[in-house]
Amino acid sequence: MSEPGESSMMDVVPMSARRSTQSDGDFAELFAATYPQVVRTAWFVTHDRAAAEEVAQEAFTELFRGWSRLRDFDRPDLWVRRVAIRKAQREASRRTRRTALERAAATVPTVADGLDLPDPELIAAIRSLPPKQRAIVVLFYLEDRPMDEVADLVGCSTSTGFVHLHHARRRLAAVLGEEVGSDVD
Amino acid sequence: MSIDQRIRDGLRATDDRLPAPDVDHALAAVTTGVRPHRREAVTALVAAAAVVAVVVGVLALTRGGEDPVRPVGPPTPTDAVRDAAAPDPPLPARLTRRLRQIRDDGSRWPDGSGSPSPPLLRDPATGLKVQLYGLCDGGPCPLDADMSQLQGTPRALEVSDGSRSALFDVADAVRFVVDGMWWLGVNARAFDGDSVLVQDVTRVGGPIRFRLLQADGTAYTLRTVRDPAPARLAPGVVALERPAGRAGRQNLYLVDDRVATIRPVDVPDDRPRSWTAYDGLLLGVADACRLSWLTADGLHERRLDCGPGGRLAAAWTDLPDGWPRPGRMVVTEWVSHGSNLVNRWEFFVHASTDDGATWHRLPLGHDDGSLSTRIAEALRGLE
Repeated sequence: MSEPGESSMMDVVPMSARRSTQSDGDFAELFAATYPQVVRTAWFVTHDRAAAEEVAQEAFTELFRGWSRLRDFDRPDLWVRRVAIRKAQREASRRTRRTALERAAATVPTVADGLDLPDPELIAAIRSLPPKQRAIVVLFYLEDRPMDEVADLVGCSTSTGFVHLHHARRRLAAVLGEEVGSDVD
Repeated sequence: MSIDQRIRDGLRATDDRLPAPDVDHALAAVTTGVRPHRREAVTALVAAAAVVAVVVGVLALTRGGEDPVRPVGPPTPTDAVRDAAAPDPPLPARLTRRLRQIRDDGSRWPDGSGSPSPPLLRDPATGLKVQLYGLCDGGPCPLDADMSQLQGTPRALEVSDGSRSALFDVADAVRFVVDGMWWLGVNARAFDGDSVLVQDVTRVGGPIRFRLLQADGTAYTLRTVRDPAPARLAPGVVALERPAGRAGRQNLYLVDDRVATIRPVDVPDDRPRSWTAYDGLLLGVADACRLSWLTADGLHERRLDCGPGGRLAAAWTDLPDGWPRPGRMVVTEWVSHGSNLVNRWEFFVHASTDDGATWHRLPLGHDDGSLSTRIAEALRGLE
């Protein structure tokens, strides 16, 4: 077991000066397969395309810096998703504060990010959730991940993730005027 | 249409509309380190660094969220620590002035105004508040400050109780953790009516420092003892978030008020990683419907009779007034049947009224928004 006085902090991932062609190829392959979905997930948390892309690129940059070691992980794709999702949550929190200030200045924030959204009420309702709940809703409903994995990605225990989902679902139902318990078609 | 279907259909339809990012351009940006900076001008004068304070407590019994962890059983009176150990010497006047400057000129971390992120600590039960301040280049830290830029920035920790407040020095380590979590290097928990238990790291990679801080300016540094304490609930046992570890992972510690020490409690690693404080016990759940609870007698375990695929949550929602009493325990089970459609999930409540000797599994049905009511009804039926 861990002991008091034992910090579990890890060293900063060093930048490797040289990488093999094979290693770069592996990274590029993972990037191509994972980056678009990471951007999409980040968008559902931040509701901003530029922010979502930057968040995703920051996460992949950290993966790239530690690639010589992180490539040996069982699921480096989950690692980078986790980093990106947590960065997206922080970005969304930052934007929430900013939005409050902008509201005070009577500047109405936009939700659509210039997109033609098929269900803008839903997206607006999701945006009203705390960032962690947004991420949980997206990972759970859109990406269809089991709650264990969802909780790991957003950074909470499974039980806490479950409770967050419960509250998010109830809030969305209330905002959207849907019934919480009606049967699925 | 159910809320689940509305969410799922809406998200999928939106996902289909999102433009595909330019993968080649992004890959080049990532591998060459040349990434665009999107940070648009911020209209506000208020600056607050976005931070992740790894402050995840146990599930709140009444709010379904995360809550500060308090000692269970009779609270350890800080007076006992005061008797056993001399308080830390007063801070030099120069350092005190510096801390005031950090507070007055710096940023609040995290910024609680309108932010979903909670303040570092605000304990309604005692009125104790803890606020962390940081100073960047002599002023507030920029909103878009990267966490790596916050490494080594001067900090101050303020403890207040509504009528008094005091500033304390706090470590300035910010480290990147391999699972993607930034940690500010300081955690705070309510300890008793007078004190907060603060963990910080005084140097990068160094040992954790545990202190009891009070709003009158008194600080007691606890001596850490590696020899684990027996797995028994005793005054001074606290569940603390493992610093910089995976969220939701807690370790149990014993603050010994006779000798002013803090020791790990000897709970094996494969036992629950988060604990809920009940009246007289700590309750934790683990995979495979395993339940553990720590009492004054020791660590108890039981595998509950769950349905196929059933998972346990140590706390779910409001318990009926008057129901929680010593010897009573409640956990909630949900069975997803492999589906992410929540309204198809089945819920059960497991309850014991005899210190865990016998357990009752009571069906709750599906989540139609009235689970709290049905949990209350089910529990009342046991009385």
